[in-house]
Amino acid sequence: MIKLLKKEMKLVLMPLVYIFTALSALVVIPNYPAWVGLFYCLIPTQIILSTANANKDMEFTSMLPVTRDDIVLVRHIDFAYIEILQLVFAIPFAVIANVYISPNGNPVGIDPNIAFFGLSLVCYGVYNLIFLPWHFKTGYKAVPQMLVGMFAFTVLVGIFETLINVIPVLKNTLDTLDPAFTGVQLAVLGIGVVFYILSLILSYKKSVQNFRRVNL
Amino acid sequence: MYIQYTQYIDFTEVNFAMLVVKNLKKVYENFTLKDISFELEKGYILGFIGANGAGKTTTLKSMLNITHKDGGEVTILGEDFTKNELKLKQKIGFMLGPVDYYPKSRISKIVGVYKDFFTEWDENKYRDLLKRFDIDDSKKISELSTGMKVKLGIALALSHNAKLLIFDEPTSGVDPIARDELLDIFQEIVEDGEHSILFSTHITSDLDKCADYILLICDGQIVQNDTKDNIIDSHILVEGKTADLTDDVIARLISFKTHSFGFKGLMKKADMRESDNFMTEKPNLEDIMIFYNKRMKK
Repeated sequence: MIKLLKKEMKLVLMPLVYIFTALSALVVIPNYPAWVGLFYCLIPTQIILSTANANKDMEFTSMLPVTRDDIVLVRHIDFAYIEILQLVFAIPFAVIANVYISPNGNPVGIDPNIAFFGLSLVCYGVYNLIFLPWHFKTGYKAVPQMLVGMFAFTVLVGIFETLINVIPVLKNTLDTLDPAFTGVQLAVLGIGVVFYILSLILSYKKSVQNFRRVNL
Repeated sequence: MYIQYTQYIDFTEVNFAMLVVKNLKKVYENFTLKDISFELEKGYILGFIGANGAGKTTTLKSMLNITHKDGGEVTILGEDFTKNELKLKQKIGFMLGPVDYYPKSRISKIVGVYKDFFTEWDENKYRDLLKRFDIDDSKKISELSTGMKVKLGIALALSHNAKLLIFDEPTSGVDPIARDELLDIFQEIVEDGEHSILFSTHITSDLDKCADYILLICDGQIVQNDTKDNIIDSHILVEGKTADLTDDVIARLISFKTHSFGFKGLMKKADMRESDNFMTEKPNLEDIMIFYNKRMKK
């Protein structure tokens, strides 16, 4: 698996992937929805698969001593790597925004706080669950999967924002930079992490089932 | 008096088949691969011929788990391929077309990734082969000609010490000089008796030059599986007048074509009778492929 990951790093994860990933820094912009940067960050997942398709990566990989399950696993790791990298990259910019630029919070949507990162992981988890098992029904199609996944991501963001704005207790605890609510926000982050890991496991199992039936 | 002879067999000397395919099956909506079975022993070249769409690529892909097979067993070097895929992929080299992945990347970059996966990668051998094939590995893959791409694939397979080489139409789109050179290379590879080659083609003249065994597939079924010489020697081309084309003759012909003066067809030599008054001719592999294919399309 390490060799396969090295192969992905050298051949599939192009510089453009990292450029889009770095757009998660957009959380630093004042009076701008924190989610926007993450939307841009869904594009690298599409770039990964487009690069692979354009270069007949599946033909190349199938020549190597690896199984189909390995191919599915490495693509899940690619996605997780990019998504987590986005969030990690966004952390210092979120701190800058919260401490120096908008210390009173972001008036447009949720503040880029700890809860925001937890909810982002839930959104990524849903995106992966839609995208990857569907993609592995063919092993090459990726555009409709990305569009539907992005739509689901948007709907989920809409639901989170609506709930936070409609339910006062959520507004007070999640959309705030007050350190008094750090515990609650850490709990949301924890739920996000658990959901994200479970969604990846479920997506992997479903993708393996789908990909074993594919005729390459 | 009863004498019992005891025969000691040294099993290390048993020359088991390099590749055994049994009842391989693949069902598509409009095409079925029907119980494909054949063997390939060490040190031989097996030519896999058939018309476009006859099932050559499907057979190779199903054997190698690239296409999901619907039945059958594939044994390579005595081990089941499905159960030992990782281990056996170290021992085989296959190319389902010329090397054309990552076309805008340099050969050195792709090979740098590729060789990490193979435990028996021999860098010196690889360098020697590049030199022999006149391949500059600082070039991009898209800068290679079709023949060079095939040679690169061969170099990759041989450098990881593959014993069984499987090529799908390796000579397709290659000029006659490069093709002849490739066929010479194939023969050299099997000369040591440790390597075997299975290659598919629809260019039957390739097989006249280098194949030991022939596998002929028509419409998803194997219709001939024997040594090249046996296949050619057991058939005969017959030509006669229209009046000679009786129901009895038609029943004995594999298939035939009619023209203004009569007919031309292929028959098994065993089905010839002394009373037959035909002009006869030794067939070549192309004739055999064409007439079997015609029979299957009836």
